[in-house]
Amino acid sequence: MSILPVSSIYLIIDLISGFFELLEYTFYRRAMITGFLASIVFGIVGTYVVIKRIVFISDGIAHASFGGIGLAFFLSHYLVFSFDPLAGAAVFALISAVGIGLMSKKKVQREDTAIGIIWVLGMALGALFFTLTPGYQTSMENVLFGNIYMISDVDIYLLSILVVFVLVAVFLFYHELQAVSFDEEFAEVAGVKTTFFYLFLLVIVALSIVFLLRFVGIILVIALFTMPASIASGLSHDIKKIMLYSWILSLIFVMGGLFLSYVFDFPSGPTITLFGGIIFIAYTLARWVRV
Amino acid sequence: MMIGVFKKEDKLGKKALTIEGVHLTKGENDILRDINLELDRGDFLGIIGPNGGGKTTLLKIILGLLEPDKGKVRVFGKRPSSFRGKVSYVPQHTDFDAEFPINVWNVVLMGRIGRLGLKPFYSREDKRKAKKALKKVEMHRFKDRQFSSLSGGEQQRVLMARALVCEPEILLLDEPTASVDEKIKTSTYELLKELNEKRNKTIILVSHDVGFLSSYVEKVACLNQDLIYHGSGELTHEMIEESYGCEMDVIAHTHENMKMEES
Repeated sequence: MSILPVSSIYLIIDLISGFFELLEYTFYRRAMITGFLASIVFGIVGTYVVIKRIVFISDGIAHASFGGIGLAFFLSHYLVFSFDPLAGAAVFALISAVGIGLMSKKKVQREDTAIGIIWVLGMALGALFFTLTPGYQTSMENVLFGNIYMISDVDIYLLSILVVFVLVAVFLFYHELQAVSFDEEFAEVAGVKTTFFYLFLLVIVALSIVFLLRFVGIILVIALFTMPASIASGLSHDIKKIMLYSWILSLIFVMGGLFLSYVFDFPSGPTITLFGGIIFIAYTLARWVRV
Repeated sequence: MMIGVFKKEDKLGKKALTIEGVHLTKGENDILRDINLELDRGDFLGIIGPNGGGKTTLLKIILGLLEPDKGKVRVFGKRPSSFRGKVSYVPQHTDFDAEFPINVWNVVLMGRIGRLGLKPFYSREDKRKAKKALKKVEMHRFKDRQFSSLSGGEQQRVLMARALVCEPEILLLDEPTASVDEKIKTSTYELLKELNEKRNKTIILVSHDVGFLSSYVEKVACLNQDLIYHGSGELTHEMIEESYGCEMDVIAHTHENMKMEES
């Protein structure tokens, strides 16, 4: 019986030394840098996703981008030149973002119906293209659930550009984005180009999803856009503070998840998502009990 | 050809609002039927009518947020969508997301957003005016409070302050005193009266409050899909009955306060 505490100390030492060891690996270092940059995007963009209540739209965009990825794989295999799957994802994500955005604005179709349909059409196209391409199984899993081994230096540069873009956009248009999120009709009457800013927000969401595709994958990405910002919005009533808390929480989720995935040799995307999910559920239950 | 320096306001002309033959249907139901209305600059119009009578819809058409199926709307001779920032409105407080994270101060500053342009920050003048407006509606001490934590009446006053800092030529209000006590109701109407008389602002107010309306407002129209408007300030029994139809008993309790039989 006395072996138990001793072995648990060994386990802790193992974990800590494991953490430093893991930084030795290039791909983990890349994953850490990506995780850091990603947490900024999750924190800021996720805050808008949560307060503007566009979670479903965002998830629709993420899934629709699968069609573009499948198409890029398919074309790369059968044509002479190769297409980056990110480019395919970007085209589909942007088209679906603008499409869903305009449809919900012009009220040509019920919004949730339109989102649901664009969502499955993207998935169906992707599934079709993938199965038509030999050796599709692993690449398909990579884009669905993310694979940190696939992250390249180019991905990190692209993500850095996205982070700068998001920071500048939010700095310049903070009040417009706040107004459009809070009271679109008043903003329009006061002279804000609300359709532009709404689409702009969806485009930022779309690009964020695409650039984070290799990190957590299109199925899991929405978890990190919602869980940290949702907890953060319960901690403050000030959007800037919510962004800050949401960023810190994203960082904890991402780093903690990466660490656990290394220790237990789990796939990183699902581990990050589940780690965040446990904290989210614990927080929600704690709130529930208190109320 | 007129050459010379005009005060900016003079360029606006006399007709504040022209609505001609506006028609809107939703499915098989008429929401608005052949609405015609003309308001001069400085008019103060009250619109009464039953729920579902199209009052909010008409306001949204005047604001250019909704396009009518037929007919035209001109605000100082221009389409509402190309006359932004000069028309402001106070929506119903129930329209808001109860969880949205924003404090009172930022809600009021939103009234200045049309003047922000590409600047990332509000100017000192914007802030001064926001402060003044909050004091005017007696909500200054709630400045840092979360908007959604306020009572309905307090939210209405904050939304009123937001509309005021826009410094609009035309102000539209959608039941601004719906959840407000008598004292606040009086001060709200006094404030509107002051804006109307001293600053020559055109005001359109939608309300169920027939009693208050008739003692403050110059002109009253009744809307129940059709707009019945006689141009005078007096409410007649026929007008109310005609527009409210079977809902007459709803407003029966305000009956005593009405000045309708006065003339």
